[in-house]
Amino acid sequence: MKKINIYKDFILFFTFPVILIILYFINPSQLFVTGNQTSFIAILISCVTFEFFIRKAKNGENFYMRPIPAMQAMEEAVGRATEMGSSVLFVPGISGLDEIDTISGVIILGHVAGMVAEYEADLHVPCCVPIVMEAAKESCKEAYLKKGRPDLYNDSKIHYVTDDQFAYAAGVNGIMLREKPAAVFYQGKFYAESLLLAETGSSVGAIQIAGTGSSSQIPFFVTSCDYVLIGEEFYAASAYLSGSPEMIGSIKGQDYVKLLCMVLIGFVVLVSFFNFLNITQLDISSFFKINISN
Amino acid sequence: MRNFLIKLGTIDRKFIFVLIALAVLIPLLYPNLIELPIKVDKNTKIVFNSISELKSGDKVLLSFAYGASTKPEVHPMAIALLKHLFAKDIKVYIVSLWPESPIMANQAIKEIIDTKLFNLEEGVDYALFDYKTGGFIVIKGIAENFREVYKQDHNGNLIEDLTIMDDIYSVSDFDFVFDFSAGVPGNAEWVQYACDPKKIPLSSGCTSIMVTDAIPYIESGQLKGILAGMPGAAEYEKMVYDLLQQQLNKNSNLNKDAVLTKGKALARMSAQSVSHLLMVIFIVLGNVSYYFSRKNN
Amino acid sequence: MFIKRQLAIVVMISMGFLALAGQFINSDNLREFTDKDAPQWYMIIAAFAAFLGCINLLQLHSTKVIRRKKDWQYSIFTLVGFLLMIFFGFLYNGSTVGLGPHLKNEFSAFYWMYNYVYLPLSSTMFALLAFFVASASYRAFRIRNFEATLLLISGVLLMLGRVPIGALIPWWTVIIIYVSILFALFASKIKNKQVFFYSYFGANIFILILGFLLGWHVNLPSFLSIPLIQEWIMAVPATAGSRAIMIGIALGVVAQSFRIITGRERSILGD
Repeated sequence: MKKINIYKDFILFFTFPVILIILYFINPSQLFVTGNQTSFIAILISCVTFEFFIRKAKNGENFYMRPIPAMQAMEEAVGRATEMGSSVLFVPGISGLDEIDTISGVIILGHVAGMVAEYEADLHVPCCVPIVMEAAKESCKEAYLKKGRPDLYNDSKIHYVTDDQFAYAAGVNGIMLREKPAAVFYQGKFYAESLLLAETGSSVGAIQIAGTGSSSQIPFFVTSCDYVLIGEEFYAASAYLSGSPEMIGSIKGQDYVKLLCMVLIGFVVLVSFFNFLNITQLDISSFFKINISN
Repeated sequence: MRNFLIKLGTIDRKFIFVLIALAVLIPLLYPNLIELPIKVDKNTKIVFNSISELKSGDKVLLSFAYGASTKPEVHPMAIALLKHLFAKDIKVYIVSLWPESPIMANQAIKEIIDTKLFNLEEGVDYALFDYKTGGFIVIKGIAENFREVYKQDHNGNLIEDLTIMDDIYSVSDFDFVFDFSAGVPGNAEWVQYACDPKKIPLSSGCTSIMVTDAIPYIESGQLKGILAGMPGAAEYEKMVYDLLQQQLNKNSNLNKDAVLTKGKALARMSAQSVSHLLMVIFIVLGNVSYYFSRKNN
Repeated sequence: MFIKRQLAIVVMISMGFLALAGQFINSDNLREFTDKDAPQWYMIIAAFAAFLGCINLLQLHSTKVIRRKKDWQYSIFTLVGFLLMIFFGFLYNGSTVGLGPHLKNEFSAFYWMYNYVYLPLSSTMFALLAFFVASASYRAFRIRNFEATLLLISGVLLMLGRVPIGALIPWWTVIIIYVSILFALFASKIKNKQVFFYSYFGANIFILILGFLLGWHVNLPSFLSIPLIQEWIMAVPATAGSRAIMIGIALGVVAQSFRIITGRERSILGD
């Protein structure tokens, strides 16, 4: 049985991708877009790596995940809100569901809603985009149902504020100043309003946990919030919270792809150095350029 | 003395807010009180030189992607750039990627017309197009087929009837693209979907916070310099003002009787300087207090 | 149950693979679908969802006012603002052009509301950032550890370097700043206060004399010019950090998208 599995894995993880790459380069009947080979190979290698580690995790292999303070603090934050008799405020960002940050934020909302249901605290989710409001309602309802507390779910607490960036910030700031939540979560896509929200949250004494894929807003959250999920920690959060082997396996795969990126960066630096010393004349950047010709 | 220094670390926020308000308000109300010399940044010089290299009759696409909240930061650079372009008799094409941007573009053009520096005719010297929804999809569309995205200008004139639109079919028909952005879609989308694939020179003017994300593109040459926030706007305004002053009696594109005025960003730089200095002073005081309170504990 | 779960997962997976295929398969129809049709479908759904948002807003705030719930007075402002803009946007014109184009016309009431109500409010909210940046940096920029010190130094240098006042700071002040930072980092290692202060002043005087001898007051080296230091910080360490975070975020997006496209990430559907 093991031999068949090794054979199957070899076909899946080596032969199949190699055949696809060869097909892409041969490009029979102009089936594929020319000039996009670099992206194709990169995506194929990434997906194969993720799939490999997901299968390893499903087969029972344990992967070490370093503890992320922000993730561990989430439950503490909800517990704090319960003890203080105050609410939990969850801000899912200001973008729509076309942004992966918002999707990640809504996924984390589901987990936080589950914790809130368990601790019997109050959850308030002001939304900037109506479609996100609907997704958030769905996510929260299911979370409360799963924890066996559908009676605690309050539909009016997940509501639409406004589409405008600063009007939304003003609205959420008002909610924070009036309700004085004990815990505030900022999980999603944020722009310039991030510091407005975080500073107001800090002024009401709330414990603040932020997570965003907007790299320019991370410094503001780091300055004003207690815990921040930086960069890919935010995307790994949903996997971390679920604890399922499949999710954790994908994070491991992500780490190996990052290692490959580091090796490639080192290689490019080395070649550039040799070019500078006139030892080689290799135009390394041309390998990574995308020149799509339709 | 020690207790006083420790107390400096616990100043009430309201006091800080009042001082910052004064630091910004006084220089704005009395701009001649503090006049500071402007040192031009390397990236602003690159933008200025790139525009200066364009020739009369060249076609420049301007993308307006900012709104009311970021108008104080981005609008002055739009005014300065428009003055620079019209002084060189460059044809200007304005597209809007945010819902509020057509209003910003209209206000910018109106301000230029009100200066009476140029004799501009819409449809001949410049063309304005309305907001199109879709973000980066619009940029992709402009890159492939401009006329499929825009069938008419903002006055409802068909694109085929506009003389300025002769020979314009895609982004490749422009000599330069300049993006004014305060968010998404912004300079990254123009690099990714239009200017880098089609090899059209691109520059950008954006809010200060966006500059860190844009710097990798500047370092790789995909962006020809950047106007970084209000300091960038002030620097560019100064360069354009000096240029127009020199050329006022020599350039046939300029009306000799018109009065040249310095831009708004220049006037606001003294306010920004004072407030930054005040913030640094607060940081130093906070650290002095922290040092003494740690010693105490 | 099938519609909520399995059908949703099937739609999620198929749309994901279609969008991915559209980037690599040379098919005009597929590219037309992924570049034009699919985004337009999303925008239509989002536009209809906007109605839901408006109804939700009206419902929530009307209920608050009618039942006199906590802070119901603020809901009056929300409702009045909302209804006023609807009135000027859809019903009342005030300009010579027809309804619709009147939104852009500077003589319409809607344009007046935009220019004199919305614009100042929006700019004011953005301007609040200046106050919050001041209070946040006052609270957070403390020499707690090495990383916090780096944050402090780069923050101060960038704040001063980006404004005209940075160019006016003389070279000897910059030297004193460097020496002060160095001594602040090692302050805890020097127990004797006298030794600390004498060595601090001695170091300052020594480097200032050295600077005069080396002619730094005539030919200013770049490491003593705050605007040039600011340019270097933006061009080198800030770019490096920004690139590293961008690569990490991009990989995170790819992994998350892979989990969603292969149907493994089902929490968004409530599973």
